[in-house]
Amino acid sequence: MTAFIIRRLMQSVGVALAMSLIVFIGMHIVGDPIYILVDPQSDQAEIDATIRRLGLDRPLWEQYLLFLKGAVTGNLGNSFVHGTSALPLILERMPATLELAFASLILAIVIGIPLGLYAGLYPETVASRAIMAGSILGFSLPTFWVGIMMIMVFAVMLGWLPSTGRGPTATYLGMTSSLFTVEGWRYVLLPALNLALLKVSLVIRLTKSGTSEAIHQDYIKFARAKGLSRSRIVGVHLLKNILIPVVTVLGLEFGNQIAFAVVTETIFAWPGMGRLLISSIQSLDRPVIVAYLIITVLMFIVINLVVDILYSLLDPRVRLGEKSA
Amino acid sequence: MSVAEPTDPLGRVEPKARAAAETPFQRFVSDYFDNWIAAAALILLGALIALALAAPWLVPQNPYDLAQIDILDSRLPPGTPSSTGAFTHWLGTDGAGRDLVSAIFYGLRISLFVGVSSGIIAMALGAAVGLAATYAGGRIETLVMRIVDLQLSFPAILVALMLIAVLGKGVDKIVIALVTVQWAYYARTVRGSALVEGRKDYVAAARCLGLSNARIVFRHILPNCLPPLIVVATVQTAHAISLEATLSFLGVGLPQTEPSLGVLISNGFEYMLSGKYWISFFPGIALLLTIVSINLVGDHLRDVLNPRLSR
Amino acid sequence: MTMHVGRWVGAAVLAAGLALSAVASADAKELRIALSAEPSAMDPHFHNLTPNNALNRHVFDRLIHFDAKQNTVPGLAESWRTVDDKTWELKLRKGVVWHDGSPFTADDVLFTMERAPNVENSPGSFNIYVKGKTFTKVDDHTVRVTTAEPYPLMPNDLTTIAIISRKHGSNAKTEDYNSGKAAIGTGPYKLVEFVKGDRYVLERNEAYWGPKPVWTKVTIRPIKAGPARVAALLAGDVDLIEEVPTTDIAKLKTDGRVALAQGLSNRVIYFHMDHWRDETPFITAKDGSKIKNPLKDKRVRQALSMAINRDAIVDRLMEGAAVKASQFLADEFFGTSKTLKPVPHDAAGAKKLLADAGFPNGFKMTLHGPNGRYTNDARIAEAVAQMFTRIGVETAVETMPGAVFFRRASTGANGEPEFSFILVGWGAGTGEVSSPLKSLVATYDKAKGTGAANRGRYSNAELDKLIADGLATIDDAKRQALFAKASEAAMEDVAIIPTHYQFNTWGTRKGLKYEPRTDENTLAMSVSE
Repeated sequence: MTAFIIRRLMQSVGVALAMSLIVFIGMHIVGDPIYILVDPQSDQAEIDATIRRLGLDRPLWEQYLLFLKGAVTGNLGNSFVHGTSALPLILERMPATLELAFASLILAIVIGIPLGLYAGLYPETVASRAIMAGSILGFSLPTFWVGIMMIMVFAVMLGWLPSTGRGPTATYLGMTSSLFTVEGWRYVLLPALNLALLKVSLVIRLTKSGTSEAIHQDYIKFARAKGLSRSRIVGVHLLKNILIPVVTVLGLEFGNQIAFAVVTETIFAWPGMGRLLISSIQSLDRPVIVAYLIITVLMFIVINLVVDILYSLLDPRVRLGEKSA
Repeated sequence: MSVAEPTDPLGRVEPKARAAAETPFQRFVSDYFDNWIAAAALILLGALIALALAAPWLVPQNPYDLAQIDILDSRLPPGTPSSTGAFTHWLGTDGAGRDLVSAIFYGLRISLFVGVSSGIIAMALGAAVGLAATYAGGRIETLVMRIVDLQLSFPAILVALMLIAVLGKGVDKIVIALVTVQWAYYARTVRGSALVEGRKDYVAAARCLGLSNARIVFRHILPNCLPPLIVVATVQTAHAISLEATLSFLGVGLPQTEPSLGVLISNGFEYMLSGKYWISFFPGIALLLTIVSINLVGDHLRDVLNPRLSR
Repeated sequence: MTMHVGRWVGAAVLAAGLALSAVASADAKELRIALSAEPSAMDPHFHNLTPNNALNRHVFDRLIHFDAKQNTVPGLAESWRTVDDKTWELKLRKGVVWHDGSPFTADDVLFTMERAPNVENSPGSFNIYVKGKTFTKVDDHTVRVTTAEPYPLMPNDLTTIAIISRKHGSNAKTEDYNSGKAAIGTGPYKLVEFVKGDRYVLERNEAYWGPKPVWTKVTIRPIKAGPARVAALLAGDVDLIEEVPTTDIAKLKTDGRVALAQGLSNRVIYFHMDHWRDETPFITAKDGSKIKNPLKDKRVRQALSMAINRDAIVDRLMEGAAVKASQFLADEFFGTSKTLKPVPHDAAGAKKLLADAGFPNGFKMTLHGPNGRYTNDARIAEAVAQMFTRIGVETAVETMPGAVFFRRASTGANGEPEFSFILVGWGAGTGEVSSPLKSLVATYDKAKGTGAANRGRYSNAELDKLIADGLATIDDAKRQALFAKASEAAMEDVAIIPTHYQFNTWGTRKGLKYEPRTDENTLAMSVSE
C-alpha cells in the first residue's frame, strides 16, 4: 500500500512538472502582458526596466529553473499582475469556490433524488417521462446561457435574489463561509443552482436506475410482505440503498464541480479561483496559471488516490497495484 | 450506414421473435424508430446539418462578407426589412449589422464543423492508440492506459482552458484543444471493448486458425468495437460543441469576426438587459436544439446498440 | 451639503435592511460601488493603473489634485510656483494629520518620492513621473523640486503620486498595504478592509482637511461583466456603477430606477498605420501579390480617413456615448487646436483619392485590434472594415486579447511593430495634449524616450521640433500655441486617423448624482445626494 501511494505521488509530481513545462513554453510563445501593465505614457527605458523587474529578460530555461528552485520551497512565483505570490493568491479565493461547489452538490441532491425516486417508482406516468426528458435537457443546456437567463428572470425581472457576488461571511467551527449566514444563502442560490444543473440530471438518472433495479429485489419484497408502510419502505430501506452509489458518484464529481465553477463564477461575479484563472489567461499572467495548474493537478490526484484507497478498504477484491484494469 | 452490420455477438440472441426475417441493420433501424422522440431528434439533427451545409444557398446574406453587412443595420428587431429592401430580417440583426438568420446558419456551420471534425480526429486517434495499446500489451499498454486514466481524471474544460492559454485563439486551435481533451475517451472505450472481445470464442478460434495478431485486431476486434464507439462519438460531439460555445463565451475561444453560435450568444449577452433579447436568444435556441438532438440520438443509440438494455 | 432629515433617515433604514453590518448609527450612510476592473493592490505605488489609482485616491492624497476635468487644484500642497525655469516650490498644507493622528510634513513627501519608483515586483511603476526630479526640503512645510531642463508638466506629474507616511511606509511591502497595516493615508477615507478580488471597504475620515464626503461607509466591489454590473444596479445591490455598457444606455435612460451621468473622457480611439516599411506585411494587392506600402502615400491615408463614417460609429456603435474626433484630445483640453474639424464622410472622394494615388481598384488589408480593451473595440474595427471595403480596400479584421495584441503591435516582428494598420486608443493621463504628441507621433527614440507608443513609426522632423519646444516652454500661452500647431501638423499629414473621443458613463440609483470625471476614475467623493 505504501509503495503504491509513493508511486502515485511520484507520478503526480511528474505530471505537474510536464504540465508546467508545457505552459511555460506555450505562454512564452503567446507573449507577455508587459504592454498592458505599464503606464501607456512610459518610455521604452521604463518598459525595459519593467521587463527586467519581472524577470522576463532572462532566457526561458533560466526562468523555468528559477521557477523550479522556488517550487521546491513552496514558492510558485509572483503574479505579474498582482505582484504577490501566486500560491496564496489562489488559496485565498479557494474557500469561495469550494463553498459554491458544495452548495451546488447539496442542491443537486435535494432536487435530484426526489425526482429520480418518483421517476423510478412510477416510470410509466407522464410526469416521470417529463422528468427523464428534462434530465436530457439538463445535460444539454449550456451552463452559461442558463446563468444569463437566471439573472434576467430572478434578479432583474422578479427581483427575488441578488444578481451577482458573494454574501457576507460568518465564522463557525473555525471555518469562514457565506453559507453560515441567511443573506449568504440568498447570494449563493442562483450560482449554485446554475452549477448544479448538470449534476441534477446525473442524480435523477442514477436514482431512477437505482430505484427501478431495487424495487424488484428481495429485501423490498420482504419488507412489503412484512406489512411495512409504503412510505417506510421507500423512505428508509430503498433510499438507504440507492443513496450510497449516488453519494459516491457525487463525491467523485466534486473536482468537476470546481472546474466548472469557472463558468459560473464568470457570470455571477463570484470571487472564486475560477474567475482568477480566466482573468489570468486573458492577461497572460503565467505564474498564476502555472500555480493554478499545479494546485489542481495535486488536488485531483489526491481525490483519485483517496477514492482508490477507500475502494480497496471497502472491497477486498480490489487490489491496489499497477494493473487497475 | 453499414456500421451496425456485424453486430455484437451477444446481439444475435434475439430479444424479439418478430425480426426473424430482418437483416441486423433493418432491425437496428426499426428498433431506433420505435421511439418517436429519438426519431424526431434524428430528423431534427439531420435538418440542422442540412441547413448548415446548405447555408450559403439558403440565407439572404453572407454574414462574414464585410461588403454585405452594414453597421447602419445593427440591432434591428425581428421582422424589420433590410435597408436595401431586398429581404426581411426575420430574427433581427446583431450588433455589427449581421442578419441573424444568416449568422445563425453560418454559426451553426462553424459549431458543427468544430464539433464533428474534432470528434472524427479524436476518434481516429483515440481508437488507434487504444487498439495499438491492446495489441502491444504489457508495459506499453499499462503506460498508455495510465496516461488515459490520468487525463480523464481532469475535467475537460480545465484542460481545454489551459491549452487555449498556451495556443491562443482560432478555429484550428480550438480543434486541437478539443481533440486533446477527447481522444482519451475513445481510447478507453476501444480498449474496454477490445478486452471483452479478445476473451471471446471467435477470437480464440481465429488464433487457432493461425491468423496474425494484427489481422485479428483490425479485421475482427475493431469492427466489434464500433457500436460503443459510435455512442461515445455522439455524446462527445455534443460535448465538444457545448465546450466550444463555453470557451467562446469566456472570451478565449473563437474570434469575433466569424462568429460561432457561442460567440453570437456571448455578443448578445451584452444586449440582454437593454431588451434586445433576440441577439442572444435565437442563437441560444439553435445551440440548444443542436445539442439536445445529438444527445437524444446518442442516448437512444446507446439503448439500441447495447443488447443488455433490451426492453 | 444640506441634509434632508426625512430622506436620510429613510435611506438609513433601507441601508440597515440590506447592510452587511446590522448596526446603523444615526447618521450612517452607506454607498455601494461596482467597478469594472479589479484593483490589484492597496499599495498606491505598486502599479500605475486606473482602478488602483482610483481606489487609493480615497485613502491617500496627492500634492496636487485633478478636478473632474483634470485641471490641477491644490491637494496636500496649498500652492506652487516656479522659482526659475528649472525650480518649482510647493507650500504644503499645515495641520494635516495621517489617519493615525500623526502630523504630515515635508519628510513624508521626500520619503514618498524615494519609495514610489522602487516597489518590488511592480508591473508598472511611477518612475516616469519621479525621475529627473530632485526633491529637497526647505522647511517642514516647503518642498522644492529641481529639474535639469525646464519642465512645464510638473504639476500634472505630481497629481499621479500618492503621498504616503514615512512612519508607516518605511520597509512596508505591498502586502502590508493590502493588509491595511501600512495603508495609513491623509485621504477622505480610511481603509477598513481590502479583500482582493472581492470587496474593498472604506469608512469616512472624520478628521479630513478638505470637504467631508457624504458617505460614512463605502463598499466597493469589482463586477467585470458589463451586463452583470447593470443587473446589480437594477436589482438594487449597488448604488453606483462605472462603465455602463453603451448597449444599455438607451434603455437605462428611460428606467425610473436609475440615473446616468455622462462626461467626456481624455481617451481618443484612433488608427495607427505603418509609415516606415516599404513593403508592409498585412497589405497586398487584391490578387494577393506583393505591393509597395500604400500607407506611405498621404492620399491613401486621407482616403481611408474619409471612408470612415464617424457619425455611424458615434450613433450606432457607441449609442451616442462618444463624439467625433478631429485630433488627439477633445477640444476642451489644454494644448488642442481650436480649428481642426472631424474629417467628413465622403466615400466618392475617398475612391477618387485612391485612384489618384495609383490604386483605382484598391488593395487588400488586415486590420488588427484588441478585443475588450476599449469600449466596443472589436465592433468598431469590424464597422470600419466594412467602410474600407466599400471604397475598394478589402479589409479583414483580426482581434485578439489586449495582452497579446499590444505585445505584437509593439515588438512583434523582431522588436519592431508587427502590424500594418491597427485600432488603438490613447488616454491622456496628464490631461493635456503633450502626452499623445510625445508618445504617438514623435519619432521613436529609445534614448530620448519619445515615440514609445509610436507603433506606426511616424517621423516628421518639423513636428518633433514643435513638440520638443513645447515641452520646454513654461509659459502656458506659448506652450498652448506650440502644441496646437503640432496637432495641426500631425493631422494635416494624417499621422494617425482619429475616430472618436469616448464618453464615460456612470449609473447611479435614482436620487444620487455623480460628477463625471475625464480621467475615468470612480470616486465616492464625487457622489452626492
